[in-house]
Amino acid sequence: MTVTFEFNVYHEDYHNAGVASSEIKKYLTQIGLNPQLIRRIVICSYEAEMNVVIHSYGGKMVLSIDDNEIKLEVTDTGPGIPDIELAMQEGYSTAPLSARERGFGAGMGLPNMKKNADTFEIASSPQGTIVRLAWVIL
Amino acid sequence: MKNLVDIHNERCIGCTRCMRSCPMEAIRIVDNKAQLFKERCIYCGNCIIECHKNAYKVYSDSFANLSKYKINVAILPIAIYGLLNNKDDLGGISATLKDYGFDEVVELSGIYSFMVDQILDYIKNDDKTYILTHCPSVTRLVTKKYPQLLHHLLPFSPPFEIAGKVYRRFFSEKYNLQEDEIGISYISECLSNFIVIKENKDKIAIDQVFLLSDLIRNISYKKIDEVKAVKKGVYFAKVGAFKYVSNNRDILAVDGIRNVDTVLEHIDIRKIKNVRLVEAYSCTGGCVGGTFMQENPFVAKWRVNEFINELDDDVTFDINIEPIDYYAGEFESEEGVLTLSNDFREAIKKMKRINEILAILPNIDCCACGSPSCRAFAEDVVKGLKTIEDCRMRKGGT
Repeated sequence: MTVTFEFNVYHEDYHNAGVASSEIKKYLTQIGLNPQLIRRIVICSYEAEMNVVIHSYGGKMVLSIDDNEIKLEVTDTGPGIPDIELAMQEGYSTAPLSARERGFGAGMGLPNMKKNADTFEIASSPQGTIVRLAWVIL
Repeated sequence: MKNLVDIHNERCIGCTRCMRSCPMEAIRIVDNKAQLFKERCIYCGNCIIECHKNAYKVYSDSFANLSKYKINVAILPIAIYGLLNNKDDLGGISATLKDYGFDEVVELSGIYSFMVDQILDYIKNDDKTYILTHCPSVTRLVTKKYPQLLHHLLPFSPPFEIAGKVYRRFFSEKYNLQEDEIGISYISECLSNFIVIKENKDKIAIDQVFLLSDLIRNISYKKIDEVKAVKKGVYFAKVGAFKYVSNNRDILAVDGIRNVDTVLEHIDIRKIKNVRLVEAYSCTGGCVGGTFMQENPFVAKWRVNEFINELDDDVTFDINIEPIDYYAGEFESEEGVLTLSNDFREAIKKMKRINEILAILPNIDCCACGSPSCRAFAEDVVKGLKTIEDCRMRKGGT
């Protein structure tokens, strides 16, 4: 059995940034997942959500939970990441001043996701970026 | 045993105010009456403050119990400083309590000021973000909702408990009595401290607990006792005291249980870094916003500031405090209170059903069904607490 949740994320909507991750956390807690695993998932979803807010034209996050696995798919509508390898480096950031002023854009988003997810996939084009994260439930 | 918090059915009109104010979604309206689900409750007291029908009832101990002890000590809460108009008022309160049958009246500023150095010393051990444990509601929020943050809690008892141990020893020596011949009573400013004492009477150092609101009504200022307060400790009547007295930039002060919840979430996902201590209080303004204060917390804060200006700097606390008085040991996790089922597969199944029900609800969170949100209502339907027909705003069928 699979249960899915979908969240819309809007460009530069700093007021609601993090709300989707809060809800994800609430649902994972209700399902009774291990708190340490929840933390890893929420760290990733938060970073992903912030990336969409800061860098993209907007997008959505889809969380799906089944008996063996948690998946999080984050898609946006562009403008894409020109050099993914560079973006994966810790501390590399293209965040605008508006994001940095709010304490975001430290260049740790993608590296943090990679570190905290069991599997991490990313693909990007000018039409949009897609990040697929998954965790195995032991 | 009586419930620690009861709802008067003849007073409750099922208005949903308390339910909407509850940060834990622990209240439902069933048959037009509020119902409290204790296992979720963190005793923040929001419901009692929000209720305009005075339908919430808590049971204070009886003054008759004081006769069991040879000497009775009343501990005043730190928030008392939010109720004083001038320096002499503290003496008036003390004298009034003696008329009630107490032999000694003490206050908490000495204990609070002593703990500042202990805590600053302790947080040097590690570079994690510690959470202050002065407020039992915050501690409860962590044990129920953030069990993974348990090791962030300081291992210290709340100040009333430290005071109970310290003053029991002090007065048994002073009067040359056995420790159990001394009765220690706490005059509680908030639901949180009140319930912790009520629930754990056999484990903690406080024997009786009374409500500040019950006592404060009958204060006379005719007789004045001499009661001295330690300036540094008086600041702890309000939020931000730790940051102020320690002059430490790495301390984050937060008040109001929903704000505390958000900050804990930020700590959990490491969104907050470089903060060494979170000074968190469930009530608005810190302890001055307590459930039984009967004063606006901002007015109370102003009174505290006025009182501090009148205090001498040279009053010190010279009663001996041992580590055994303030170390609480580890806190126990209450993981699982928020889960839908103990069985993971069953929980997923329920979650799926919740989403299906939510899809046909109006999602306006009107609360008319007696649940705090449409989502909570869908959960209640799945749990069997409500039926779909309880939604008065529903479009379409089931």
